[in-house]
Amino acid sequence: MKLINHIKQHRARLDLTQEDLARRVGVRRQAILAIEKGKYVPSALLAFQLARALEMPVGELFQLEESPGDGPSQPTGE
Amino acid sequence: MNTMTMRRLPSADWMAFGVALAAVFLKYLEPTLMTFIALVVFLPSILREVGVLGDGDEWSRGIMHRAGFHAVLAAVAVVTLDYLTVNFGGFDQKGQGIWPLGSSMMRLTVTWVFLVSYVIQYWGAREGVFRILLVEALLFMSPILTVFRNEYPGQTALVALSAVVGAGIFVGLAFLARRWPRPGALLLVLLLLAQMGGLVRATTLGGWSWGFASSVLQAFLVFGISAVVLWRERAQALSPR
Repeated sequence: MKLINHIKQHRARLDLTQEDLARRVGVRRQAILAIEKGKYVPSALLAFQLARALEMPVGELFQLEESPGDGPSQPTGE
Repeated sequence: MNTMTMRRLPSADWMAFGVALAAVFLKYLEPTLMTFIALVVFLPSILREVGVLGDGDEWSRGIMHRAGFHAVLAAVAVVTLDYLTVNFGGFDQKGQGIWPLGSSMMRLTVTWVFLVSYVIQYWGAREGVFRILLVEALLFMSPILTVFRNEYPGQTALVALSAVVGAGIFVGLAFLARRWPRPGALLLVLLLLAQMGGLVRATTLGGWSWGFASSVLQAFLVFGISAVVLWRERAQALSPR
Protein backbone atom coordinates (compact mmCIF):
# COMPACT_ATOMS: atom_id res chain seq x y z
CA MET A 1 0.00 0.00 0.00
CA LYS A 2 1.35 3.42 -0.86
CA LEU A 3 0.33 7.01 -0.87
CA ILE A 4 -0.17 8.54 -4.30
CA ASN A 5 -0.87 12.18 -5.01
CA HIS A 6 -2.24 14.36 -7.80
CA ILE A 7 -0.17 17.42 -7.07
CA LYS A 8 1.29 17.65 -10.56
CA GLN A 9 -2.13 17.68 -12.26
CA HIS A 10 -3.60 20.25 -9.91
CA ARG A 11 -0.49 22.39 -10.08
CA ALA A 12 -0.88 22.40 -13.86
CA ARG A 13 -4.58 23.27 -13.47
CA LEU A 14 -3.61 26.41 -11.56
CA ASP A 15 -0.66 27.07 -13.90
CA LEU A 16 1.82 26.93 -11.04
CA THR A 17 5.44 25.90 -11.38
CA GLN A 18 7.10 23.71 -8.76
CA GLU A 19 8.95 26.81 -7.60
CA ASP A 20 5.66 28.74 -7.23
CA LEU A 21 4.08 25.98 -5.19
CA ALA A 22 7.22 25.54 -3.09
CA ARG A 23 7.17 29.23 -2.25
CA ARG A 24 3.49 29.13 -1.33
CA VAL A 25 3.96 26.33 1.20
CA GLY A 26 7.45 27.33 2.36
CA VAL A 27 9.55 24.41 1.15
CA ARG A 28 12.29 23.94 -1.44
CA ARG A 29 11.48 23.11 -5.04
CA GLN A 30 13.28 19.78 -4.64
CA ALA A 31 10.81 18.87 -1.90
CA ILE A 32 7.88 19.38 -4.28
CA LEU A 33 9.70 17.31 -6.89
CA ALA A 34 10.31 14.50 -4.39
CA ILE A 35 6.66 14.54 -3.26
CA GLU A 36 5.35 14.53 -6.83
CA LYS A 37 7.58 11.58 -7.72
CA GLY A 38 6.36 9.70 -4.66
CA LYS A 39 9.84 9.59 -3.15
CA TYR A 40 8.86 11.59 -0.09
CA VAL A 41 5.69 11.35 1.95
CA PRO A 42 4.99 14.77 3.45
CA SER A 43 3.89 15.33 7.03
CA ALA A 44 0.19 15.88 7.68
CA LEU A 45 0.88 19.59 8.16
CA LEU A 46 2.57 19.94 4.78
CA ALA A 47 -0.11 17.80 3.11
CA PHE A 48 -2.81 20.19 4.37
CA GLN A 49 -0.75 23.21 3.31
CA LEU A 50 -0.36 21.74 -0.18
CA ALA A 51 -4.08 21.02 -0.38
CA ARG A 52 -4.88 24.59 0.64
CA ALA A 53 -2.40 26.02 -1.87
CA LEU A 54 -3.90 23.88 -4.64
CA GLU A 55 -7.48 24.62 -3.53
CA MET A 56 -8.27 20.95 -3.10
CA PRO A 57 -9.53 18.75 -0.26
CA VAL A 58 -6.56 16.87 1.14
CA GLY A 59 -8.38 13.56 0.67
CA GLU A 60 -8.56 14.13 -3.07
CA LEU A 61 -5.00 15.34 -3.41
CA PHE A 62 -3.56 12.33 -1.56
CA GLN A 63 -4.97 8.82 -1.87
CA LEU A 64 -3.99 5.37 -0.71
CA GLU A 65 -3.27 2.90 -3.49
CA GLU A 66 -3.25 -0.80 -2.75
CA SER A 67 -0.61 -2.94 -4.43
CA PRO A 68 -1.53 -6.40 -5.76
CA GLY A 69 0.53 -8.02 -3.01
CA ASP A 70 -1.28 -6.24 -0.20
CA GLY A 71 -3.51 -8.26 2.07
CA PRO A 72 -7.15 -7.52 2.85
CA SER A 73 -8.06 -4.04 4.03
CA GLN A 74 -7.86 -3.09 7.69
CA PRO A 75 -10.64 -4.63 9.80
CA THR A 76 -13.36 -2.13 10.60
CA GLY A 77 -13.57 -3.23 14.22
CA GLU A 78 -17.31 -3.71 14.08
CA MET B 1 14.09 33.79 -12.71
CA ASN B 2 15.79 36.52 -10.78
CA THR B 3 13.97 35.48 -7.65
CA MET B 4 15.14 31.89 -8.08
CA THR B 5 18.72 33.02 -8.53
CA MET B 6 18.49 35.34 -5.56
CA ARG B 7 17.19 32.48 -3.42
CA ARG B 8 19.80 29.97 -4.45
CA LEU B 9 22.99 31.98 -4.56
CA PRO B 10 23.24 32.86 -0.88
CA SER B 11 22.28 29.36 0.31
CA ALA B 12 24.48 28.21 3.17
CA ASP B 13 25.03 24.82 1.50
CA TRP B 14 26.42 26.36 -1.67
CA MET B 15 28.65 28.72 0.28
CA ALA B 16 30.00 25.84 2.37
CA PHE B 17 30.56 23.81 -0.77
CA GLY B 18 32.44 26.67 -2.42
CA VAL B 19 34.67 27.22 0.60
CA ALA B 20 35.39 23.48 0.91
CA LEU B 21 36.26 23.23 -2.76
CA ALA B 22 38.52 26.28 -2.55
CA ALA B 23 40.25 24.71 0.46
CA VAL B 24 40.84 21.48 -1.49
CA PHE B 25 42.51 23.48 -4.24
CA LEU B 26 44.50 25.73 -1.95
CA LYS B 27 45.78 22.84 0.17
CA TYR B 28 48.69 22.69 -2.25
CA LEU B 29 49.69 26.15 -1.08
CA GLU B 30 48.64 25.79 2.57
CA PRO B 31 48.17 22.14 3.75
CA THR B 32 46.53 23.09 7.07
CA LEU B 33 43.44 24.21 5.16
CA MET B 34 42.49 20.55 4.83
CA THR B 35 41.81 20.49 8.55
CA PHE B 36 38.86 22.82 8.18
CA ILE B 37 37.09 21.09 5.30
CA ALA B 38 35.02 18.74 7.48
CA LEU B 39 34.02 21.62 9.74
CA VAL B 40 32.98 23.74 6.76
CA VAL B 41 30.94 20.87 5.29
CA PHE B 42 29.08 20.29 8.54
CA LEU B 43 28.75 23.95 9.53
CA PRO B 44 25.38 24.65 7.82
CA SER B 45 23.88 21.53 9.42
CA ILE B 46 25.27 22.44 12.83
CA LEU B 47 23.85 25.96 12.52
CA ARG B 48 20.45 24.56 11.51
CA GLU B 49 20.39 22.16 14.44
CA VAL B 50 21.16 24.89 16.97
CA GLY B 51 18.55 27.13 15.37
CA VAL B 52 20.83 29.84 13.96
CA LEU B 53 19.93 29.00 10.34
CA GLY B 54 16.21 28.78 9.66
CA ASP B 55 16.35 27.92 5.97
CA GLY B 56 15.34 24.27 6.16
CA ASP B 57 11.98 22.65 5.47
CA GLU B 58 10.85 19.26 6.78
CA TRP B 59 12.13 17.48 3.68
CA SER B 60 15.66 18.97 3.77
CA ARG B 61 15.84 18.42 7.54
CA GLY B 62 14.97 14.75 6.95
CA ILE B 63 17.71 14.46 4.35
CA MET B 64 20.21 16.10 6.65
CA HIS B 65 19.35 13.74 9.50
CA ARG B 66 19.55 10.64 7.30
CA ALA B 67 22.89 11.75 5.86
CA GLY B 68 24.14 12.29 9.40
CA PHE B 69 22.93 8.84 10.39
CA HIS B 70 24.74 7.30 7.40
CA ALA B 71 27.91 9.15 8.43
CA VAL B 72 27.60 7.77 11.97
CA LEU B 73 27.19 4.22 10.65
CA ALA B 74 30.28 4.64 8.46
CA ALA B 75 32.21 6.05 11.42
CA VAL B 76 31.27 3.02 13.53
CA ALA B 77 32.46 0.73 10.72
CA VAL B 78 35.81 2.53 10.50
CA VAL B 79 36.32 2.46 14.26
CA THR B 80 35.44 -1.24 14.38
CA LEU B 81 37.84 -2.06 11.55
CA ASP B 82 40.57 -0.02 13.19
CA TYR B 83 39.96 -1.71 16.55
CA LEU B 84 40.04 -5.16 14.98
CA THR B 85 43.28 -4.54 13.11
CA VAL B 86 45.00 -3.14 16.19
CA ASN B 87 43.86 -5.91 18.51
CA PHE B 88 43.74 -8.93 16.24
CA GLY B 89 46.88 -9.08 14.14
CA GLY B 90 47.00 -5.52 12.88
CA PHE B 91 49.23 -4.42 10.04
CA ASP B 92 51.02 -1.87 12.13
CA GLN B 93 52.99 -2.62 15.29
CA LYS B 94 52.81 0.97 16.48
CA GLY B 95 49.21 0.70 17.54
CA GLN B 96 47.84 2.71 14.65
CA GLY B 97 45.77 -0.06 13.11
CA ILE B 98 45.05 -0.38 9.45
CA TRP B 99 44.54 3.34 9.00
CA PRO B 100 47.53 5.59 8.90
CA LEU B 101 46.61 8.89 10.51
CA GLY B 102 43.44 7.35 11.97
CA SER B 103 41.68 10.55 12.91
CA SER B 104 42.21 12.01 9.44
CA MET B 105 40.77 8.87 7.90
CA MET B 106 37.77 9.11 10.20
CA ARG B 107 37.22 12.74 9.23
CA LEU B 108 37.48 11.84 5.56
CA THR B 109 34.97 8.99 5.92
CA VAL B 110 32.40 10.98 7.83
CA THR B 111 32.69 13.97 5.49
CA TRP B 112 32.43 11.97 2.26
CA VAL B 113 29.57 9.77 3.48
CA PHE B 114 27.61 12.80 4.66
CA LEU B 115 28.22 14.68 1.41
CA VAL B 116 27.46 11.77 -0.93
CA SER B 117 24.35 10.77 1.01
CA TYR B 118 23.07 14.37 1.17
CA VAL B 119 23.69 15.12 -2.50
CA ILE B 120 22.12 11.88 -3.75
CA GLN B 121 19.06 12.31 -1.57
CA TYR B 122 18.72 15.98 -2.51
CA TRP B 123 19.10 15.65 -6.27
CA GLY B 124 18.06 12.05 -6.81
CA ALA B 125 20.31 9.23 -8.06
CA ARG B 126 21.12 10.40 -11.57
CA GLU B 127 21.48 14.10 -10.91
CA GLY B 128 23.22 13.45 -7.59
CA VAL B 129 25.83 11.11 -9.07
CA PHE B 130 26.25 13.53 -11.98
CA ARG B 131 27.17 16.31 -9.58
CA ILE B 132 29.40 14.08 -7.45
CA LEU B 133 31.37 13.00 -10.51
CA LEU B 134 31.74 16.60 -11.64
CA VAL B 135 33.16 17.42 -8.22
CA GLU B 136 35.55 14.47 -8.61
CA ALA B 137 36.59 15.99 -11.93
CA LEU B 138 37.31 19.30 -10.19
CA LEU B 139 39.27 17.50 -7.48
CA PHE B 140 41.30 15.77 -10.17
CA MET B 141 42.19 19.19 -11.52
CA SER B 142 43.54 20.38 -8.17
CA PRO B 143 47.10 18.95 -8.58
CA ILE B 144 47.52 21.43 -11.40
CA LEU B 145 48.30 24.01 -8.71
CA THR B 146 51.54 22.12 -7.98
CA VAL B 147 52.73 23.49 -11.31
CA PHE B 148 52.93 26.93 -9.73
CA ARG B 149 55.04 25.61 -6.87
CA ASN B 150 57.32 23.80 -9.30
CA GLU B 151 57.08 20.64 -7.16
CA TYR B 152 57.79 18.38 -10.08
CA PRO B 153 60.49 20.09 -12.10
CA GLY B 154 60.70 18.74 -15.60
CA GLN B 155 57.33 17.00 -15.26
CA THR B 156 55.08 20.03 -15.29
CA ALA B 157 53.47 19.14 -18.57
CA LEU B 158 52.87 15.56 -17.43
CA VAL B 159 51.22 16.67 -14.18
CA ALA B 160 49.01 19.15 -16.02
CA LEU B 161 48.12 16.65 -18.72
CA SER B 162 47.22 13.87 -16.26
CA ALA B 163 45.04 16.31 -14.28
CA VAL B 164 43.20 17.42 -17.40
CA VAL B 165 42.79 13.88 -18.79
CA GLY B 166 41.64 12.55 -15.41
CA ALA B 167 39.12 15.37 -15.06
CA GLY B 168 37.92 14.78 -18.61
CA ILE B 169 37.28 11.11 -17.89
CA PHE B 170 35.15 12.02 -14.87
CA VAL B 171 33.19 14.62 -16.83
CA GLY B 172 32.48 12.03 -19.54
CA LEU B 173 31.50 9.46 -16.92
CA ALA B 174 29.19 12.00 -15.26
CA PHE B 175 27.24 12.61 -18.46
CA LEU B 176 27.17 8.91 -19.31
CA ALA B 177 25.89 7.98 -15.84
CA ARG B 178 23.14 10.57 -16.09
CA ARG B 179 21.99 9.32 -19.48
CA TRP B 180 22.57 5.57 -19.02
CA PRO B 181 22.67 4.74 -15.30
CA ARG B 182 23.39 1.02 -15.54
CA PRO B 183 26.37 1.22 -17.92
CA GLY B 184 27.51 4.16 -15.77
CA ALA B 185 27.23 1.97 -12.66
CA LEU B 186 29.27 -0.79 -14.31
CA LEU B 187 32.00 1.67 -15.30
CA LEU B 188 32.11 2.98 -11.75
CA VAL B 189 32.57 -0.56 -10.46
CA LEU B 190 35.40 -1.06 -12.96
CA LEU B 191 36.97 2.18 -11.73
CA LEU B 192 36.69 0.92 -8.16
CA LEU B 193 38.33 -2.38 -9.08
CA ALA B 194 41.13 -0.54 -10.88
CA GLN B 195 41.69 1.55 -7.77
CA MET B 196 41.81 -1.59 -5.64
CA GLY B 197 44.31 -3.10 -8.08
CA GLY B 198 46.44 0.00 -7.63
CA LEU B 199 46.27 -0.40 -3.88
CA VAL B 200 47.31 -4.05 -3.97
CA ARG B 201 50.27 -3.10 -6.15
CA ALA B 202 51.21 -0.19 -3.87
CA THR B 203 50.97 -2.41 -0.80
CA THR B 204 53.29 -4.93 -2.41
CA LEU B 205 55.76 -2.22 -3.33
CA GLY B 206 55.90 -0.10 -0.23
CA GLY B 207 53.08 -0.67 2.24
CA TRP B 208 50.23 1.58 3.22
CA SER B 209 50.40 5.29 2.88
CA TRP B 210 47.95 8.03 3.71
CA GLY B 211 47.50 8.91 0.07
CA PHE B 212 46.70 5.38 -1.06
CA ALA B 213 44.48 4.56 1.90
CA SER B 214 42.51 7.76 1.47
CA SER B 215 42.10 7.30 -2.27
CA VAL B 216 40.85 3.73 -1.80
CA LEU B 217 38.44 4.85 0.89
CA GLN B 218 37.27 7.68 -1.33
CA ALA B 219 36.82 5.26 -4.22
CA PHE B 220 34.62 2.99 -2.09
CA LEU B 221 32.59 5.87 -0.72
CA VAL B 222 32.16 7.71 -4.00
CA PHE B 223 32.30 5.15 -6.81
CA GLY B 224 30.86 2.27 -4.78
CA ILE B 225 27.87 4.16 -3.39
CA SER B 226 27.26 5.94 -6.70
CA ALA B 227 27.29 2.65 -8.60
CA VAL B 228 24.78 1.07 -6.21
CA VAL B 229 22.33 3.97 -6.33
CA LEU B 230 22.57 4.23 -10.12
CA TRP B 231 21.86 0.51 -10.47
CA ARG B 232 18.90 0.71 -8.11
CA GLU B 233 17.56 3.83 -9.80
CA ARG B 234 17.30 1.99 -13.09
CA ALA B 235 15.61 -0.95 -11.39
CA GLN B 236 13.06 1.39 -9.82
CA ALA B 237 12.43 3.13 -13.12
CA LEU B 238 11.71 -0.22 -14.77
CA SER B 239 9.40 -1.53 -12.06
CA PRO B 240 5.65 -0.97 -12.61
CA ARG B 241 4.16 1.92 -10.65
